[in-house]
Amino acid sequence: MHGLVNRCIEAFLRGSYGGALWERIAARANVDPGGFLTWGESPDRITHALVIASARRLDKSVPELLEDIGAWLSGQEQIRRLLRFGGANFEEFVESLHEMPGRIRLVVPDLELPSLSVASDGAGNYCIIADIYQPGFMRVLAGMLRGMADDYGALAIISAARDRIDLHIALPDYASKRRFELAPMRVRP
Amino acid sequence: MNIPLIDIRKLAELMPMHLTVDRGGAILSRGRTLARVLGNAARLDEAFVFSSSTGQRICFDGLLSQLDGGKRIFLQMRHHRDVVLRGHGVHVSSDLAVLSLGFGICLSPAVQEFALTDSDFAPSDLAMEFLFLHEANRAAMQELSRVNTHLEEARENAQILSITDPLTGLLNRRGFEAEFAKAFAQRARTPFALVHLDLDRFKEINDRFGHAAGDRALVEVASVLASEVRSGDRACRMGGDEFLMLVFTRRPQADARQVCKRIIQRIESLAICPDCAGLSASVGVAVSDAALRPDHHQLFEMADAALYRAKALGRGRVILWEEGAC
Repeated sequence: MHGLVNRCIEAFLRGSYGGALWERIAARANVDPGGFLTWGESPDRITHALVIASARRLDKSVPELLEDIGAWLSGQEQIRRLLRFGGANFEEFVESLHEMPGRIRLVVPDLELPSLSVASDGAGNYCIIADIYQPGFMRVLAGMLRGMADDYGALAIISAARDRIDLHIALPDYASKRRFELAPMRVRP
Repeated sequence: MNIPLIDIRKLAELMPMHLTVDRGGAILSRGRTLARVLGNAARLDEAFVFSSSTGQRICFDGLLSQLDGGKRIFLQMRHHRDVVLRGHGVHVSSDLAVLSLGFGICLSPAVQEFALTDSDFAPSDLAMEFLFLHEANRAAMQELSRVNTHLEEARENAQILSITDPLTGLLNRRGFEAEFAKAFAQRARTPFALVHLDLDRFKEINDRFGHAAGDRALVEVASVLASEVRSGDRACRMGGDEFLMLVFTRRPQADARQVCKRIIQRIESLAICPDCAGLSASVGVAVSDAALRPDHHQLFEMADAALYRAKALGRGRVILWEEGAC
């Protein structure tokens, strides 16, 4: 697994539950409580051990935990902004999901993610399918979609299975959208 | 095959960054996005200052003469000087020219200035990808710089650990050797005394009261040394019950003797454990400005010889190295 995946789990745990809990989970999963630094490839078992130890500690199922991680990711301002480049509204965002793995490769070339395809019936129903099965990936994506639906102010019903996500946009403009400017004014240091 | 004429409104939609101008410089059609950017400007020179591909300012006729040859043109906005459009153009008739423009590296300021959104760019335009990449790179760099800071701190800590004696917190042999070499190189400017201290009857404490008591004694002695020297001085545990100090002073002989006497007194008054055999220390001192000008290894041997003499003379003493005496 790419080092950023482990780093993401670490940041999620630290950010949502505090450093002390992260250190306990790290100890349980036998990883350095100092955290992950490198972006290199690490054995998948490390990621699996972390996920299982976290789910157990937080008293969640693994799919629940992964969806929480996805939702948390979409709430990180830098990542939220990058995701918002996907479209002007939630429908566009969902329809552009097939471009997302390519965009990610543009920035982190060695982060391998499945290719996504999105099928639509034209009435707000979408089915998102990955070309290869990567354990947990669709759960994280489902959580991220949930977070982005909120961000765009859309009301969507999202159900994830191990290899597909079914998504229905009930109300595209359910609540107010969060702001997004393409090039935000920089606060000068 | 005849190509039907394209409707000008459709052109504005297809090419949101195009302009059509006539020979007199009047703007006849403008792309959807440029229409937003230009406002009411009716003529090209009301909106822009022109430059050639080499950056030379040119007049409108000069601009027209650049077209058709594949040359780049630059149009700086009169009212937003930090936005310079770049592009090219062709004459479609003797009277009409079409320009195709882009924001180039001025994209970010232009997006801010005119509050442009995704829908202002043609899907074929790489503007969105550029903005995305720019921002994604910044995020990636931030994460990498977090890692760098972390590694830098770890390296500093490792370096401190590598020159620190873990039991007493004084310098270890490696740390001392570096400090000693530095001090020796500057001895002409900053003279110093090299102090070699060895505990007396330390082995008895170890044997009678165990290693924990021995370690406690070493820690206590270290804190005596650390508190008796000044902040620029250096104290080190070489290993076992052997300590070294560098005492920097204008009068190394007198000052070192005085400091060492105080240290011995304090060590003798330490109560390591009940009915402990009285701990003491012997000290040999060598001074950097000795007339002999020895190399730093010799200086070390001089302090060692003085220490040996102190031990031989009956412990609890400070002996200064003197030519012929040790």
